[in-house]
Amino acid sequence: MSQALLEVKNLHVSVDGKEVLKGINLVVKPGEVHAIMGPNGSGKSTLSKVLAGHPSYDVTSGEALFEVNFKMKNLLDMEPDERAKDGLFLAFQYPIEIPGVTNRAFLRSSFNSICRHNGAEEMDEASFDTFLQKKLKVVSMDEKFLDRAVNSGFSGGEKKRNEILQMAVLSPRLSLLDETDSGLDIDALRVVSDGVNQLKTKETGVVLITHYQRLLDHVIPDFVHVLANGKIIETGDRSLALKLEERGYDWLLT
Amino acid sequence: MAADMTTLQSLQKAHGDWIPAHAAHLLSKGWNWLALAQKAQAAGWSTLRLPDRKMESWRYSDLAALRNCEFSVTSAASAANVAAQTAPPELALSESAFEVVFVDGVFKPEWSRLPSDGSISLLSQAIDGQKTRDKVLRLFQTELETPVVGHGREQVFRSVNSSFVRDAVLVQVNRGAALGKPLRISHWAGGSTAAGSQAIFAPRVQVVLEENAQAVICERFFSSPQGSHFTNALSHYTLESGARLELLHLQSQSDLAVHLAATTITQARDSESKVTSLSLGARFARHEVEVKLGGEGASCALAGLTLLNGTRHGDHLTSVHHLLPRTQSEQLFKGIAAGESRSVFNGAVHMHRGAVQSTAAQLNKSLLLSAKAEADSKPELVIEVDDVKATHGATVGQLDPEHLFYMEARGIERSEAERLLARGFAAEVVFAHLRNELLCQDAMRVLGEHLDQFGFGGLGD
Repeated sequence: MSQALLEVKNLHVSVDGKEVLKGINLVVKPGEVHAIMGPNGSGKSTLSKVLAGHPSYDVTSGEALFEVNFKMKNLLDMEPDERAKDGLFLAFQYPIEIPGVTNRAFLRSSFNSICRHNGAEEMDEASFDTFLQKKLKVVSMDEKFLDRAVNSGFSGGEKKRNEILQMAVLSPRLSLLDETDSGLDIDALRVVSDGVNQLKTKETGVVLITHYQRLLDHVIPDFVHVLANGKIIETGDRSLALKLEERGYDWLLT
Repeated sequence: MAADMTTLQSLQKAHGDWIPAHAAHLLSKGWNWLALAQKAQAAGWSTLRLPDRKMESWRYSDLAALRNCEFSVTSAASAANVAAQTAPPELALSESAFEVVFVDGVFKPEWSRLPSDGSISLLSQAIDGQKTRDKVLRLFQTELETPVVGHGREQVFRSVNSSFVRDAVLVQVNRGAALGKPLRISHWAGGSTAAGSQAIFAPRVQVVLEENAQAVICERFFSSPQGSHFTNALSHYTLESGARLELLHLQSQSDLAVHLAATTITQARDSESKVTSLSLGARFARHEVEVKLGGEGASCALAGLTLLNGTRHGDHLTSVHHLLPRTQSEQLFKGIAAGESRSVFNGAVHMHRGAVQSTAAQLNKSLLLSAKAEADSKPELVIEVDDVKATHGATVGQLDPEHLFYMEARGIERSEAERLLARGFAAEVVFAHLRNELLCQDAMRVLGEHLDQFGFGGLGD
């Protein structure tokens, strides 16, 4: 049995004194795609943000172990940038607009920071531009987006593509996609999910957080978890998602 | 008040030490009027008091940095000595610009490159008998001979400049013509003065753009890292009808320097000015930009940035006068303040009676990088006529934690994320109105150097 990439153990998280996650357990192994579904307010986004290191959450107990060079490191002890450098990626549900910083400069700063951390050579502007050209194709994005400020004035769909572009540039080992499908029309959904499919490998893990089954028609999950009231209450295979689509969550909640 | 007297007395002493030789030189060349005018200016300001914080326009700015100082004008010999060394990298000549370089207030021809058509000349050359275009020289003479006393303490430093002028850049672009390349006027301050005294510099620029003429001009101020000096600059721009000016004021002096500058722009019908003022260095810096939109359809766009850390002080004061119909002004001023620094913006817009259907928009944004930094914003709208539109807004904020988290989640270290965000905040000012590529590069390079010395990392906490 291969070593886990991510091992979340009994994770409890509070926001402003209110417990939002009440003991999450989750194991993701290389090559696996997990889907986490659940009603609004169940704690799905909290889980992804806590794993990425958002400062607004208090972890009251539990751990989140992440495999780095065959050793399990507790993500919760690491700064957000260290988590990213070690190969964790969060595609934001609401990507942030950063005025004054071009997408190109942002991507290069991010890429080079991760290169430095991993002892790889940084890229100069020219070679990075060539590298970016290939990555743009993964998400069918126009080059003009590179010279605009990060996400500023991007449509909802463009922002989501930009997240996947960042994923393509950074080649993370574990990607958490937080409702990347929401707000996308059918065509954009196809582009984004094609991108994810191209990027996943036998060595990497993907966690899809989603409301809807439709993303899972494009990116086929190995496991489907239902998160409700801060706990994973059901785990199954792809058929669970279809069942949820058909019957909603009520049958599980009662 | 005693302290004020000390500053002025000290300036008077420096002037008294310097003027006899300077005046003798002028008289020997037949420039009696200039010698008289400079002495008259000195006599004028010596009866005034320095501005203080009881005055509205100086409410947030204390001239303590000039107290208890001895001033002196660097001797031409010591300037020549510095000038003999290799040019600092900042002053590297560019093929794509005309260059006028001053070292310690003295024109440095070897490091300069002027066009051959006479559109750019120097006062020192005119004094030595070289031909200078008429109109600009006449305007310069008028300015020098206008007594300051009537304008009172507000303008005392302009008069101080006039009395200390040793050289000046005179630009006249004739009707319908354009300066073929951007003009960079660079001031390098690095020379030594008598022990304990501060060198005083009086950079002076007079520009006239005739009807439909165009120019791109940059005034740059650099100094050696440990240079302690007092720069008191004054520039006058006259735009005749349809003329277009793009101006960059790039102040990158040492953290020990005091920098006061005033830029006045007088605009005729349908003329257009775009001014960018980057105040990046100096212990105490203040740049006053005064625009008179005195012709129908004239417009100005002003942008400015102060970048401050430590206990430094940076101040932008603008006053825009809309005098005739359909004039337009637009202002974007920003401040970044770290440490215990203080960023000040005073922005006055005056809609005079004749200014029907004019519009003015003003925006001031400050970014505080520490709890002890301060930003003061003082917009001032005076509207004497109906049927005009004037808006203003001011915001003060910190770096947005969500911005920082997003960047950190992409592997960018906190300090680098802060630097990128501050750079982005500042870059908006650089690119607001500046279009010339060389000047944009200049501005971004110097801005980057200053930001690199900032020591980011946990500043937002």
